[in-house]
Amino acid sequence: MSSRTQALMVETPIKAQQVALTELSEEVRATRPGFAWTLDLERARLVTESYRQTENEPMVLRRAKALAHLLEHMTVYARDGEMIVGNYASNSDSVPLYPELAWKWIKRETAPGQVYECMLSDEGRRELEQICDYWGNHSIHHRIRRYLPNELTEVFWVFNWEASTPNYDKILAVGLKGILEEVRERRDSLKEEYLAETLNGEEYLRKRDVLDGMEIGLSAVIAWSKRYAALARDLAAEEKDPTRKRELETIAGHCEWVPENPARTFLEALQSYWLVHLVINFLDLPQVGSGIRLDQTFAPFYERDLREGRITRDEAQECVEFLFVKFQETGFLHAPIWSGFGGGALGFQTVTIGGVDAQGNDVTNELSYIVLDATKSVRAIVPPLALRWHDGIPSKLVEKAIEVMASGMPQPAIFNDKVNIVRLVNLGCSLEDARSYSINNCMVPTIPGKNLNHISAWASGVPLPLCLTSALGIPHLLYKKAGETCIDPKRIESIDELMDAAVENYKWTIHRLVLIGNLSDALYREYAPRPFLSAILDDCIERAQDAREWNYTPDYRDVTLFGLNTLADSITAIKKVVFDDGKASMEELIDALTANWEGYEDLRKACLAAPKFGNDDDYADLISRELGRRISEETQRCRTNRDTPVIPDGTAATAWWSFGRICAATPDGRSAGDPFNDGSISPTAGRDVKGPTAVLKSVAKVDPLVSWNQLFNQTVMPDYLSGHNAQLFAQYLKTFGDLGVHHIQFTTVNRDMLEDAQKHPEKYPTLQVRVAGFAAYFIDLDKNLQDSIIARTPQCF
Amino acid sequence: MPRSPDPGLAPDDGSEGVIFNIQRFSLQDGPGIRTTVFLKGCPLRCGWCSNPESQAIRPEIMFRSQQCQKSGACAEVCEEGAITLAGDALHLDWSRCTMCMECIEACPSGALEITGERLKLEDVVEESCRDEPFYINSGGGVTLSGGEPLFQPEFSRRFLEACKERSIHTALDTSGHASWETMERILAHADLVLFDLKHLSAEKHLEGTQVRNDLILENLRKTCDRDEARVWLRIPVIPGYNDADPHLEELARLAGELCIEKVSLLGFHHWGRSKYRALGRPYPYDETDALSKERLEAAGRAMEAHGIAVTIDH
Repeated sequence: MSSRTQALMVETPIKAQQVALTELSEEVRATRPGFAWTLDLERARLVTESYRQTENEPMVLRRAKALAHLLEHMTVYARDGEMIVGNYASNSDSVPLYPELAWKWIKRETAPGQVYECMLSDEGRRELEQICDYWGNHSIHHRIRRYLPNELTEVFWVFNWEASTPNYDKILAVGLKGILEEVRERRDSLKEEYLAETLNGEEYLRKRDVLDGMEIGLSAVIAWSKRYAALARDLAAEEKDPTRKRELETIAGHCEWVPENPARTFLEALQSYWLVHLVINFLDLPQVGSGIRLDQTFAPFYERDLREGRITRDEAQECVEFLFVKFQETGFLHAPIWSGFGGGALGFQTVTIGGVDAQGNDVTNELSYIVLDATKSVRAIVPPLALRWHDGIPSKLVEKAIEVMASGMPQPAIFNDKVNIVRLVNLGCSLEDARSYSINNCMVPTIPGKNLNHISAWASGVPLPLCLTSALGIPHLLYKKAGETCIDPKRIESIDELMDAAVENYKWTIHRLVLIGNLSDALYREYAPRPFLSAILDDCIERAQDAREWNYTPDYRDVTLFGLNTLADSITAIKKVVFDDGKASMEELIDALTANWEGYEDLRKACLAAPKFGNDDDYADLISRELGRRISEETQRCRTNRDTPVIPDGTAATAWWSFGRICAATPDGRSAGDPFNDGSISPTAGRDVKGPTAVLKSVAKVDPLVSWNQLFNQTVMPDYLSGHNAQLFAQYLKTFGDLGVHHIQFTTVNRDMLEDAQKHPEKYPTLQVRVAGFAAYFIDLDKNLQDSIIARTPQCF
Repeated sequence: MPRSPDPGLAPDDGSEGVIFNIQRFSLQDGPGIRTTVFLKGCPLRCGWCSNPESQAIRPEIMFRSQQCQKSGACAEVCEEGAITLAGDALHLDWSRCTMCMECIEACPSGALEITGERLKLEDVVEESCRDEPFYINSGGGVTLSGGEPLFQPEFSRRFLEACKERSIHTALDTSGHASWETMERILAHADLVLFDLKHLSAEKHLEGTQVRNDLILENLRKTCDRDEARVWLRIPVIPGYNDADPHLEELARLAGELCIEKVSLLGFHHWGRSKYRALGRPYPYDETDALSKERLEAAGRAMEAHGIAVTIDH
């Protein structure tokens, strides 16, 4: 890491590190730097102000004007030492609020005595109160209650998450100015169409508003960048240190020029990207995206600078480090339950390297290596790094990736082109577009530049084991409902009937979730158009339509599923213990589960001894495969508002852990409240006893092309990623690619380290683990999650 | 199925073997990613052995006291009265144990477990070939180890032959203590021999392993004389026993003379300690210090000076 970026990183509050206020002791909290981040009301205040002024206008213009008002009046700052500027809250220690989406839980959780009390001052609470008074029931998430049929309130509440990746290549090539011209030309041609009577009045009106909204948004972002230029010039005028003075002048030059104009240098291109990224992911609305192919988008700028002698490789790495340091400032306030298991104010924002081009050729370039080096040196959990694996991946890139993992970083996560490209094509994507995919959120494939193609309107997901326990009539602890089919245990004659009952309950749950999700989606379309974003996504200008008004194929509206292997192992245990060995009757088993195994220790032992997923044993693995296939089929029978199939998704994050807390004992031997199987497809912690090759083979049997994009975590020791073992590890990864497993990611620490970190968190401020599709600081996770990570079988690499 | 006279022993025809572990993703038992099959039973009694459960050919009970919940369930079912609860510790009188295994069934915590199992040849082959995709990518395969594979000769021969039939790379890890006739029949199906050698002095060998080394050295020469010979020499480096520089140099000279492809040095460690406790046996090398990595590397350099390729496993 360069001395400049290192100095900057030390001063940067890492928001993703903040977490689980309820679960942590004062002692532990005190060990963490920059803990006291707060809520910043500036965005909420300015957006509300604008909404008050635009009450009679079309929604698309209200959104555009709200963004413009925010960008014009928000605080802009440049922190000492940074070379890339751009902020989304009034100071680097806070996160903004989105009252137009929801405010009730925020007001509740920040009240005196509640977990987020320290996030606001009394004065802040008073102002929040005033802001909330304006919104009342008009926030999008609160509007849904008006429409929601009572019949749907039995299932778990859902919320929206969305992501999209604009066409950054175009922004860097023609500038927002070029796009603005395109919008104006389209407005002229629209007028011509109306005059030629090829467009009706309704369409003309609606499309005209959309284009006007785009113009307002684009102009506002250009003007906003110039505020940074002015700020940097002012700071430069006062700056005594000649070096910093020159740096500030450079920043001023960049912000005066981009994103309005085509980027001229590598650093300027990064600056242009960062400003646009902030607007679409944090300022306009919260998005879990990024999805940029960093090495593809920026390589031409790096190569030109290098050719013309403007930059060295080390300087380029420093530029990437400046960008990565900026990522640390970002994050969202999550509801306490989500924050508690999600690792703080994490904003995801995965970036991608490697892979192939539209013709299928490897695209690795020097920047791919620079990004890996920067990842290794910054040692942070955002942005998560995705590496695309394909048959032609250079050995040197694999070696470099292993070197980063061996340094103790849980990065990069590896995604298999063999699965992702075919899966996207199966979902209706063209082969060329599919080959250009990147990863956003943490697990979702996206096509850069294409329309909003990832919406998790149903992101809270379905804890699959509950579909079985509900069928057996075992009460669970919190989840509202996961089906209502109770089968008569006395009359069950085969596990097929059990599988049918579990799938039937899944069907009951998923259809209800989708009914809610579709309502939510409709409300977003009505009340949250995205004029600026639409202007920088392909085809919206030509169509003169907001991104929410049409869909690109595939329309990735997904529902997250987790606990598949806990469900499968449960059915396997019943097959073994009840049907094959006759050691217990179904009724006895149900009594045991209801009693959380108390008084049934022998039965639990027999259930634990039954074959388990993760040991390359078809007896267990094929049940998982069959369930994956049937659940995927059932999911795709649900239709979105656009009449596209709902997509099952494995972005289980840490839901496998948190939803385990609300689930009763399960027949696989799991006790009430224990976690489900790790990730979406990893074995249950401690149940895989045959090592990493057997796990990989089990996972490969649950074909991701007929199930979903499975999240697969593995724990490895750093020692085994170096020397001779590094080569064997590369060959292990190659076999991962060959076997058609969708994804793999590694936590490279050992059990002793984790246990010590639990006892002495102060010694391990940067110790990281992968929890699901992203990484977290271990010491920030609450005790139970730490325990379950420790229990995860450390693979003997 | 006809039972052999001793239920712990496998039949002579090699249709079954007594095995105490099948370890997939083995990285230290030959090239590439491998699966190592550990056979039970060994003619040698090396005091430093880190797998004491590999020595006797019959299945044995292992008792891991730290896992014991002291439920007393085992004592209740033991008809021989071999198990008693003394204070808060459980005591197993090995002399009274008849290996009826009732206690293992009864144990709620998994503290009592059996090591060694009679497995059918075809099942062992099946399990050993499961990682073929990894073998192909890494140049790996299966390794037959122990214990001593030559102690279950017919099973070993048939196992290696079956793997070769599937085009899987085979390695035989052996101490070479068997008749040459037996050994030769098995070597015919091994692509690589990992030949274990402890000491070049007959007396020291007897002292350390309770057998002399004449037969072993003779078999080593014959193994290396075979046309298709690929041989790696594996030497456990035991502090104060065989790690003196003159001895290492002598070994290096022998390796050079026999055109050994590579020498692997395995540093002495204490990982086996808890296994001795679990088997109720004294650990002869309890007091011996583990070999440091530096010392092992120095030993490697001493041998490399003689032009021998050396790898170290620490």
